[in-house]
Amino acid sequence: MSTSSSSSKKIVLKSADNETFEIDEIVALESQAIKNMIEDECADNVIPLGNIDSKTLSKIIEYCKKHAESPKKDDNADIDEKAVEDLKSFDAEFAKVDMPLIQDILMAANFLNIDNLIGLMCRTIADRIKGKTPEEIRKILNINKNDLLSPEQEAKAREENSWAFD
Amino acid sequence: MAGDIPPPQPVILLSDKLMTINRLRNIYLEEKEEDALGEKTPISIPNDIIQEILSRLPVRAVLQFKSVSKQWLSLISHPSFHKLHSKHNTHHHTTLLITAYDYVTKKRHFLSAPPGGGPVTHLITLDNAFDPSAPFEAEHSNGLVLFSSRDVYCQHNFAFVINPVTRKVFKLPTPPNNFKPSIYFFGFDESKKEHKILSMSLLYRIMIFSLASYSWTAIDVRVDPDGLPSIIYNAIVFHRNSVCYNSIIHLVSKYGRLTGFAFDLRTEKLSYSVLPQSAVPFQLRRRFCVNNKDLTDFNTPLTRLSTNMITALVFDMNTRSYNFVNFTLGYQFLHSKTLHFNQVRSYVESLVPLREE
Repeated sequence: MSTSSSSSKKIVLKSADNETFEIDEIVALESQAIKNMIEDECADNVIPLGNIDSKTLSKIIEYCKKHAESPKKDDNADIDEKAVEDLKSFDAEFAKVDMPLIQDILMAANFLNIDNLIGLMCRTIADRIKGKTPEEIRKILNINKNDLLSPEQEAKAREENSWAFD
Repeated sequence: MAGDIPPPQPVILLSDKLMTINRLRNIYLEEKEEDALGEKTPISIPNDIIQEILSRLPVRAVLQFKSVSKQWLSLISHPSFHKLHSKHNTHHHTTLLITAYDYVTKKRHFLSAPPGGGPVTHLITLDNAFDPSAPFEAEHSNGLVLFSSRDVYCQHNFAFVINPVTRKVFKLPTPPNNFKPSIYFFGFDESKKEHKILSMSLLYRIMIFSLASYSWTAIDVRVDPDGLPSIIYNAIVFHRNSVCYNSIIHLVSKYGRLTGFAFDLRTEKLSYSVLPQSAVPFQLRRRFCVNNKDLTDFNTPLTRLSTNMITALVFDMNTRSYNFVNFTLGYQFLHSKTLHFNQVRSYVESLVPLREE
């Protein structure tokens, strides 16, 4: 898409820390939320994203660019396997960031309604917490201490699933 | 608590969302300020996203993570969670199910064990549930196990559905209209995503029990010129075990001719055909269960090697050979000499919910 960038329509996104990102409309359309907004013609020149910081937003734009450039599965039944593999390895590399950033990307992707990215982040978190103890998970995901089970509830949950702790 | 979970969020216009951003942002900033000296406090992850993450984990991890927080416990316990989980989870973990009966305590025990042998885990015990001499079968379908009588003349009649993972047990209610099932077969209707139990009586009647509506339905079986009554009779009396594949329950019966039966759970129609004698290898007529890629025969008896060890002869379809697999009994109540081990079957671990009795 970069070749047609001079002619294509531009969208400007503004992060919480007031950084602006000018991107092709086709890239912005990866977000179902922005797509709806453009279709309903309620998008101004600049779309403020008051809950997404610039670090997170630039990652999201990187993801959307790559996915907008790649052939869509439902467009064309016989897209070459190389493109699929290429996108897979991009996703794998993309997810190699620290846990706080993964969570920020996930929350932002949820807000912007980017299905594939939500799925990728959920898979990444699932892979990282697999094999960990509940105690470790509370640390990794920074679970609110007010939401912990009472000792009785915890004992009951453990008793019910004792085989899962083997 | 479990009832409070919102359904997956519908698409909300960004313009609507933007109106709430400032509010959210204020909360976010307040949280940040609170914790300004410590680490960054993330915004708490919403329920639907936690469910998306949990649905991508294997069954055992999900159960273990019930104790992470109240939020996680409530989300995992919610009846709708298993649908999302079966959609995303690709870890189909196969485990063995062992049944045992103690003639003195009159208790029926259900145990699980790793496929390659090892320590058994106690799952469920049923008290005085039925006559221990009654013939029975345990059949697996899509995460649930049907434990039912196989008594042609119906002196003993019982059927339970068990989820060995959640340890829930559901006893089938007595069928209406004086229907007396001689035999039960278990299957999964892919089109409606529901488990169904096919039941036949010696009076050439067929009924279906649905684990979605929890009710019995009579199936109209017309007596056709080919003599359907005798066909059903043969299926009941001379059957081997059944297997459900692609929503169709298949079984083979051998009385003179080898006959293959197919009951389509989607259309609820029975069909049959005479098979060449060579169609089904001998081993498979005994008992077959389809795992991910393995076809194994567990029809051989369990033998006690010592007080705390039993062994089973298992047919491995990959190597086409029989192997002994040993299981250790870590529980005192399994050491009793009056305890008899009955069957080894396999099941796929799932979170499919069952209504409590």
